[in-house]
Amino acid sequence: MPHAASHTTEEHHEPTGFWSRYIFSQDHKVIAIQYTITALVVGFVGLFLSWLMRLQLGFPGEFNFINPNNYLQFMTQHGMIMVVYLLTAILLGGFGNYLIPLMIGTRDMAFPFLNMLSYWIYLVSVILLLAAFFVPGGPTGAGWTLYPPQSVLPNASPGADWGIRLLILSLAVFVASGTMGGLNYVTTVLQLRTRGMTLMRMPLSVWGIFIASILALLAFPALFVGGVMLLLDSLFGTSFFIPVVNVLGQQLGREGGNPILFQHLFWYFGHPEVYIVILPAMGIVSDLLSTHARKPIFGYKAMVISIAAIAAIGFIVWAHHMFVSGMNPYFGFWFAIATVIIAIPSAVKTYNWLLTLWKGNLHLNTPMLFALGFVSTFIIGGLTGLFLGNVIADVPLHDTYFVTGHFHLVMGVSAIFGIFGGLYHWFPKAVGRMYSEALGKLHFWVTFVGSYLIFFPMFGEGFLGLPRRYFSFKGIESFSPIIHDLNVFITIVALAVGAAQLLFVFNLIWGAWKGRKAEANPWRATTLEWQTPTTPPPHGNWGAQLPVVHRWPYDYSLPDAPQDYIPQTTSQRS
Amino acid sequence: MQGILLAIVLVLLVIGAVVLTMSGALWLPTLASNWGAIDNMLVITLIVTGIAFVVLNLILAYIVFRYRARDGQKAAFFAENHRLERNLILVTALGIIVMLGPGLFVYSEFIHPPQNALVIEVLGQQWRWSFRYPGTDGKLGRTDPKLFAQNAVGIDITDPVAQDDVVVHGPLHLPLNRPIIIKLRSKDVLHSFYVPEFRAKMDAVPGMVTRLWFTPTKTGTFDLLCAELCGTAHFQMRSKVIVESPEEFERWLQAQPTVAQTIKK
Amino acid sequence: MSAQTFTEANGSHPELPATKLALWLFLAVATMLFAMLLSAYLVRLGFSEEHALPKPNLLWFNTLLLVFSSLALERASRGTARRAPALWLVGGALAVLFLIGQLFAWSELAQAGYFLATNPASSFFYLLTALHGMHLLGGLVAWTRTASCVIQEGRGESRGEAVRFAPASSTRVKLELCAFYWHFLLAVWVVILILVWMTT
Repeated sequence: MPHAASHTTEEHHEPTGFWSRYIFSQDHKVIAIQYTITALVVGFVGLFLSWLMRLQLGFPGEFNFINPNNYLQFMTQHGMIMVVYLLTAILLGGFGNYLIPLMIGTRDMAFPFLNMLSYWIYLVSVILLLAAFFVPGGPTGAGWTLYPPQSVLPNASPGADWGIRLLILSLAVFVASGTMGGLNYVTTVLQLRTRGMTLMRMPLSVWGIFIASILALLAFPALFVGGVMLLLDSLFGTSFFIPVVNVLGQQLGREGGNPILFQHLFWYFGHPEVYIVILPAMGIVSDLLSTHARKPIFGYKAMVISIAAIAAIGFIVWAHHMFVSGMNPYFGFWFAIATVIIAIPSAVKTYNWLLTLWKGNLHLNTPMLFALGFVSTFIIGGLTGLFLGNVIADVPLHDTYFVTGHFHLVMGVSAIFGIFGGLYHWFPKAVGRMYSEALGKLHFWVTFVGSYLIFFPMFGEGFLGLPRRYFSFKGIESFSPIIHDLNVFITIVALAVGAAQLLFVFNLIWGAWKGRKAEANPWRATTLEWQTPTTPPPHGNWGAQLPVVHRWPYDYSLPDAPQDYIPQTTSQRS
Repeated sequence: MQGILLAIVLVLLVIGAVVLTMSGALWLPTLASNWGAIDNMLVITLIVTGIAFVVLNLILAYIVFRYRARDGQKAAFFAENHRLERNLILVTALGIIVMLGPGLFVYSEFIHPPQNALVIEVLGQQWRWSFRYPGTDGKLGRTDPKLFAQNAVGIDITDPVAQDDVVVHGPLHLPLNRPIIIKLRSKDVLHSFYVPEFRAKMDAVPGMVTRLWFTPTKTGTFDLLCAELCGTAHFQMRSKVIVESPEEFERWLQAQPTVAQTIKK
Repeated sequence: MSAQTFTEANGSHPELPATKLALWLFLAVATMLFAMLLSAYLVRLGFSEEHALPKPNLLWFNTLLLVFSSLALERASRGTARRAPALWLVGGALAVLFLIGQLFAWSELAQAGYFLATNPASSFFYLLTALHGMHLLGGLVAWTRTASCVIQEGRGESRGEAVRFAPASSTRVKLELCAFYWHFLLAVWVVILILVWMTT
């Protein structure tokens, strides 16, 4: 990579032009902000789509422009946007880019040009994704799982022609972008750590992002392969996944394909994808809890091992999404056992967060509140996962609202809490100004209480048997009338919580524009990014001298120390 | 202030969850099949995870209340306790074994249908269900997806065994207290056979035959739903299940026309 | 490579250039991709009885081209600065010939009536060879960029004694990595060929 050379030399030439500084920048911090803003914008599209769905579910028949077809299209786009284009992009592309070089003490990523390319390719994938709204037939409505045959057979589901093709194209482009990013993050962590920054002195944020990047590198190929085969099935009449079928009275000339094969490929990507999202959030939350509780993280080594264990086991559990798919039923035994084993490292993390807080000195500012919110929603989300992982308990709950509640709390709300916490926490460093604490707290309270009010009742709906991905429940006699009331309630709360996110946007914009000037280290944190000579750090981060690391990142409240924190750069003697 | 508020919210969350669960308003619909064991598994899982939920959230509430930052308070310094960590792992593993162990036995039962069961075929297509019963010979005739071009259910009408089969598109009639094996086929896309009161659920996959089994234990009418997204009218892909006494069931079946009578060769 | 100056300053792993690590990681990704596709192929074959596929003899010839291409690049990366440019160009040209040969193999299949959607074996064969070819095309981009360095350095050396590239030379690292990528693609191709041969 000849271009790697240009920006990592010791004598640093900061680009001066507007374009090279803010648009086609190779500075990891600028790229991080580009990723973050793009992901948030597309995330708001996803949020808006969820509003439309909730309007239909809460007030069926009141909104004529929502019909069964576009309901499914909103649903599919909402899922895809949130999981891939918001959560994955912001956690790896946003936080990964910003934090890795600063936290391990280097000037930039190993391959800055590749890094810039990764962002622009991601932007192309986003454009392709949203373009699907404007093609004949609209975006695909086959669910974010894209299961064939319905996703690709003409007339079998909405958007089964151009919508699905565009989405697969977009995903393939995203995979390319993610792979470029992943190669960069992993190489940077392994190769460019500053003197003294051993692997076991890295902050848990870096550990989470690092392991998630490895997961992404190994999981994305499955999505790519499945996607390409699906695309060929759609465009050229191949039968990778399409058996002999008769759609709406028409016999199609396909033969021998197996829809379950796609499900295996999809979930071989899809399950690690869950951890790609949650591991960085876990890492970020660990650092937030420790910093704002002024206490070392409890069981650092156990935390690192459990991140690695979750990732490793995460590759052998994929078919727990397929317990009633018609696959060989004996697989159920293995995938149930492997799945619940993941509960152990996940539980270790939860215990260690609580033990980190125990006897701490909790400064309950906005980032800390979101981190605590993460712990709470992760507990309920993780515990309900035990219903679904235990194969026989999954049978009645599968594809009901119980599942919807579970994954929204554990990877939707939890991950987004980690993101909110992280954004507030590092905002002063990235922008050099403070956000409004009062608005931030209001944002937290509405979002935290609201999330529980939205998703907790869904567990009840699931027990009652309510199937997910239904446009309407009219005419199903066996469901008690309580369901309608619940749906109205959930919809109203969802509208309020969605609107509250504008507080967050306003807070960030106002803070960046008019906020109070931030100190270099407002949280009195130990990690390297708070020790930069200037705030926000310039291109190249460190001035003339790279920092040297002398200790682990969690020296908070050491007895006999003059302050309640000792930065990683402080040598052992002092 | 924030600490006290968060503690109160967390306690309210725990109380709310417990009250809601105890009230039973949001619990499974009344069981109408033999799968009481599945319900028991859900109850066991609910108890184990419920305890963890209550304990962990209350600890969190206590922490944010007790250790919220105040003047003169200093955090303690401790970063490890191997014994505690080991014990917590043991307790977690125990909880998991309690849930998973019995679950695997029930699952084993779930995938091994009894020998004497009545085999009924259910065919899903966009967006309705059809049902096929064996006639007097007790056997279902041969089917082939390629034959959907010839007749609506893809049945081989040259097969002698198929002649007395009965195909209905209306409600699924089932005899009480007799094990039923449902063989699932699909004509077009993925569907899923789902009767909430029976608990059992299985996808119908085009190109293959999947199956599930249960024994209806209550007479009455139930909704048959589709639980796998199958296109625009997925939410309307419904039928009824009528569970009746074996005599009534036989009488009903006898009155239906056979394949030989309804499908032209 | 500036990455190296950094690692020296950082003292983490100066002996392993960042590009080398990145290439290994990328090979892991590509291995995953072909492994997924080949597993899918084997699973998919089980669902169809019809999976005949004519095997053009041209494929053996193409394989030989790729073997020699790989060998030439390997020799170039180990060879002296004077000999390297010629070997490098020959290696790349052979790879281009391999790709053209693959296209001829496709057209032979098409003439025999085997198209992308004919049967699972033909579908996978087209897909596998296309993806493999695209990886090789990507490799040729890197090969082109490296070629200019090799030729320049070779020109500089040609007047003096025939010396090997200095071990730390960035050109040498590029040559090695490129050659290594070629060996990887050769291995992938051989696996594809064997599997297709044994199953159709």
